[in-house]
Amino acid sequence: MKTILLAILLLNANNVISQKLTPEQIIKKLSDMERIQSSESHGRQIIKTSSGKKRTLEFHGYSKDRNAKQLMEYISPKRVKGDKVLMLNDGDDIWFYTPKTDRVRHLASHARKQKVQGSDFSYEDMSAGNYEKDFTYTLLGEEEILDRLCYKFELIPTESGPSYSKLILWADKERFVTIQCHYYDEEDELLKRLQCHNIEKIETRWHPMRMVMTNLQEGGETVIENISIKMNVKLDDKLFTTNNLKKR
Amino acid sequence: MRHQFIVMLMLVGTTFARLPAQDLQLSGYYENQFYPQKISGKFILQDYNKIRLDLTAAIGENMSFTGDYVYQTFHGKTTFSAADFIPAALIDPVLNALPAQTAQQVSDVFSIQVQDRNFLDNAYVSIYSDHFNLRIGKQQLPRGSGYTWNPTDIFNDKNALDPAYEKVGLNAFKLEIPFSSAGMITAIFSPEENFKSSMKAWGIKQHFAGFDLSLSFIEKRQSFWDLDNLVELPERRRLFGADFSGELFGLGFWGEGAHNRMEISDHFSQYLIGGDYTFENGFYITSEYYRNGLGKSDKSDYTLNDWLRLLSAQGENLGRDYIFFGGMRPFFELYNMSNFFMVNLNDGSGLVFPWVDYSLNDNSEIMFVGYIPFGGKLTEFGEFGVGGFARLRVYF
Repeated sequence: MKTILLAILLLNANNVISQKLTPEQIIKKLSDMERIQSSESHGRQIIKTSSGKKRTLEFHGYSKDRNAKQLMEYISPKRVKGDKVLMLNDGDDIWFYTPKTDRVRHLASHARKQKVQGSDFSYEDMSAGNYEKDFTYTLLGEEEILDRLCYKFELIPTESGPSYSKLILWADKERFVTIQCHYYDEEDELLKRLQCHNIEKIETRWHPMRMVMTNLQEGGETVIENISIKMNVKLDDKLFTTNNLKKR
Repeated sequence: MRHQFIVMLMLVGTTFARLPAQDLQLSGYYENQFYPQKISGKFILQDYNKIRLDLTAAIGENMSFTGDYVYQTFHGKTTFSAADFIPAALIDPVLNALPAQTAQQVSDVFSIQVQDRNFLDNAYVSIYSDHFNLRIGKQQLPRGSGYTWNPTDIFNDKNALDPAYEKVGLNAFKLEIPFSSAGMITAIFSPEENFKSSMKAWGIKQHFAGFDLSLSFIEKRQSFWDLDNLVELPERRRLFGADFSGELFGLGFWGEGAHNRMEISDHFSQYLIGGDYTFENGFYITSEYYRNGLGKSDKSDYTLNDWLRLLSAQGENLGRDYIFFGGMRPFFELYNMSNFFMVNLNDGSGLVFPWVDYSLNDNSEIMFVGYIPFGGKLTEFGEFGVGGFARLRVYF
């Protein structure tokens, strides 16, 4: 009887230990959840200006090798149709193609700060990045955000990371997916806020179907909605080459 | 002309009527540009309307067709004399020294008539395979990494004051053989009346150590003005070029150079280096230095021929050294405000051109550009008239 009680106690103790994840384990789980092996999506980018005007763009997105390779192709409106953004090496290399001039341009790393098609997302926000490589992180605690209990992290970019001074990230404690992220500028002032909504389970992964980036200094807002997404699809490596960008 | 436009539309309709609807995509834009400018001390007004129809059709998995048809009408002042843009001190002695009949000939040569036009801008078929891409027909052939100038691009006539505007298609066969993820060997052939006079080009491109690098060779026939006999003479031009673009110390960095071996006139080289940077607040700056081996380092050496070359489609600058500087900042989400400067370092003249563009809605945009020249008499930009343009473009 004593042996059984001891076994039960040890089992419970193990459960307590396993629930108490280290910051490294949490970041790894977050990374595993968000860095999808490959995906194909159809999305909508709605830009809302501070004066209430609205611009809507639609795109096809492709990713491979846990988001290390990404391609976005705008399909509407006509003004931007055919514009393509290719991001390789976790967003370290970015090429932009526009059919207007039939020209492929390699963007220097500073251009990652530029707005994508005038939205509140910059190229570096759109590229997946790599938590382990691009940040040093500290677990600040737990907080409830958007009705979800979250781990709260402070992320300080490394040399390969984005241009922000820091990020404060809230990751869902149960689903290991980003719920909210605050981006701070070089003066350490809060610049932008990302909130993820409509989190759905697609195959084995939790994925936000609606992301809202708000520029807290200028007042604009951009919503990215996933109209459809397929995960773990077979995509040819040739899709993610500069040579492919000119293909219509 | 209107008749031709309607015929073209009918042709488009009947040609593509057989294609499945999902394969054919019709789009395009309407553009109006109003451009007042001061010429020879007088303000003149010009305006154009342009419709561009773009057709794309996927023809099977590895083949596509792309075509663009342009119809453009010009209004306001449409007749000019090149002499209006050349300093009187240079042109008047030449005209006065000529016999009356020859002076009339010169006047005819200098006459510029801007006429309504409709033409097939691009029309090409692209064939893709695992080992090559082949593009056959009228197509844009962009070259070089420079923004304002492209020494390696002798396919297109580039307007340094509006460098991002679409280029007119050139009839050519272009074969591309990709290797590795970003490498490419390119061969281009643009047929003329015989092989010798046809344009031939080869190029190789690779991405290495964060840089896009390319080498090119182009041979073409072009003409130059023999002012003694008032005739255009053809000559062979062989261009050996190289360009790169990448990043250095956090700045965007690019360069482009070309050495031109000429059959009759003097050989010359042109090159540029440029850089850009985006600040945290989105303010973007860019600059280029351009060395023009065709140009003169002293304004007193500018010849009538140099001015004619500047005014021709080639648009070659008069001076030897130029600097371009620009800054751009997005304002209120839908506005972009830019200010560009171009300075001829040899004669001290230059041009300031502020630029504002605004997205009216999802499919239309408007831009306002001003041209404010500075410089003394007989300088390149000092003779340029103050002006600008307002351009409205509506996509459909």
